[in-house]
Amino acid sequence: MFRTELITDLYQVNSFKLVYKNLHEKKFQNAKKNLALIKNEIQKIISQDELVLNDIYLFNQILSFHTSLITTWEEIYIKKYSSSWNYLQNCLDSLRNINKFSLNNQKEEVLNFFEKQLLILEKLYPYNIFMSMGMEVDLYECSICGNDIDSFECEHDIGELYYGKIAIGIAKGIRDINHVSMVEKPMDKRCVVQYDDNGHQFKGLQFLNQQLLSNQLTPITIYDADETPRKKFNEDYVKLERNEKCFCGSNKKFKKCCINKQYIEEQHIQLIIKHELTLW
Amino acid sequence: MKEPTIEILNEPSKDFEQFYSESNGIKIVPEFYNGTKEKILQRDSGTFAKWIHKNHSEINIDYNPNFKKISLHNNEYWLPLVFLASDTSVQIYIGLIINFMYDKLKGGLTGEKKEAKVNFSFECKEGDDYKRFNYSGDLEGLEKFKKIDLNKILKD
Repeated sequence: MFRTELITDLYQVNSFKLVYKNLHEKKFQNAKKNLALIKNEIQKIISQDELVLNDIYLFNQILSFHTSLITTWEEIYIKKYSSSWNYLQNCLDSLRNINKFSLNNQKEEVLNFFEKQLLILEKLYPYNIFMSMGMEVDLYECSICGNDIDSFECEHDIGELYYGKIAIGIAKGIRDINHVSMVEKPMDKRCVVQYDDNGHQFKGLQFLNQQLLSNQLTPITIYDADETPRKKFNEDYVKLERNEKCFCGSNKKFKKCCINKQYIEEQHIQLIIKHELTLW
Repeated sequence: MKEPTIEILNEPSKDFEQFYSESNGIKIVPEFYNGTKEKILQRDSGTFAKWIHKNHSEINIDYNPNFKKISLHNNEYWLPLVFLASDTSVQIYIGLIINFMYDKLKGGLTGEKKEAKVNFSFECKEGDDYKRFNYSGDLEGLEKFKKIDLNKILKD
């Protein structure tokens, strides 16, 4: 995973097992304290070596991932579903960075387990459409060297790591908002329409919360999901004579429209729980 | 995936004619977009130009960064309109885009796909026609065009 022995050793000595145990027992504050102790260790390292600095960045991303993971579950536990979405996205962003900057893009087994789990969790949220803004910008300044990051004078590539820092293009001179649009695949999934935590949109998360509170599952035991759609009774269905106008308002005859829609398909996600799964 | 569109440009721009007759490689071309007052470059133009410059130094890339950029803030690579000179075939260019995209996809989560929005203009081999190819979709869709002769399809 790491490129240097120094950080590899530090990673092996500072196990995350206690974090997982506390997460499993829903002792969120204790899990955060475990992380703080590991963070202290990494902060002690001082180096000028680019490989070490890049490894420290990777280690810090692993810590950020775990902090966001604990907070995601904590927010679900206290019914703050809307806010838990942002922490979930923080987790996924950290995982992308961990995957990208790990040696040979290796995926560690435990992190792979959480990646799978969080992608399942993401499907329980009601967000399918996101806001996206088109902006006209003079130039993007490189966060490392200060040159125009789109010019050949700047040697840095956006999103790459240099001495422990990611090169970012900082927008300079936003001249116009060209448009605001709704997209399915945004750059930032945090740009969503806000729903009330008690709303029906969070039905899946409310179910998850009940399961957590009644100890039917824990943040560690969600292992997989079966996503077979299922049929449910169509509550709008009205039985009519064949030649009557359809209840749906299409102006077609019932027999040529919704006559067979007494049951409709709905998205159904069955969580697969493994109680014997231990990460410590 | 949307089907790509191919426009026939009976009156190619002077810029294109000049580039095609005098240069080689690839030219990145600013365009008007959705009511902009001046020609702009798509956000990923610089990233793409620098990637070619670093990884394929044998290809001449004609690129001027001194235009405003437009950023869409969505999760796809929006590549600029380019002109292809006679030494750069459509297949070479599509190959470049695919390699660029795979490079940028490193670190993606399981099942995550990045999409590409691609436009390029080129001259038909056998005639006086000029074409513009517009594509928006995933890499698998784009990869299909690497294996086929676009000129032949256009003649049919």
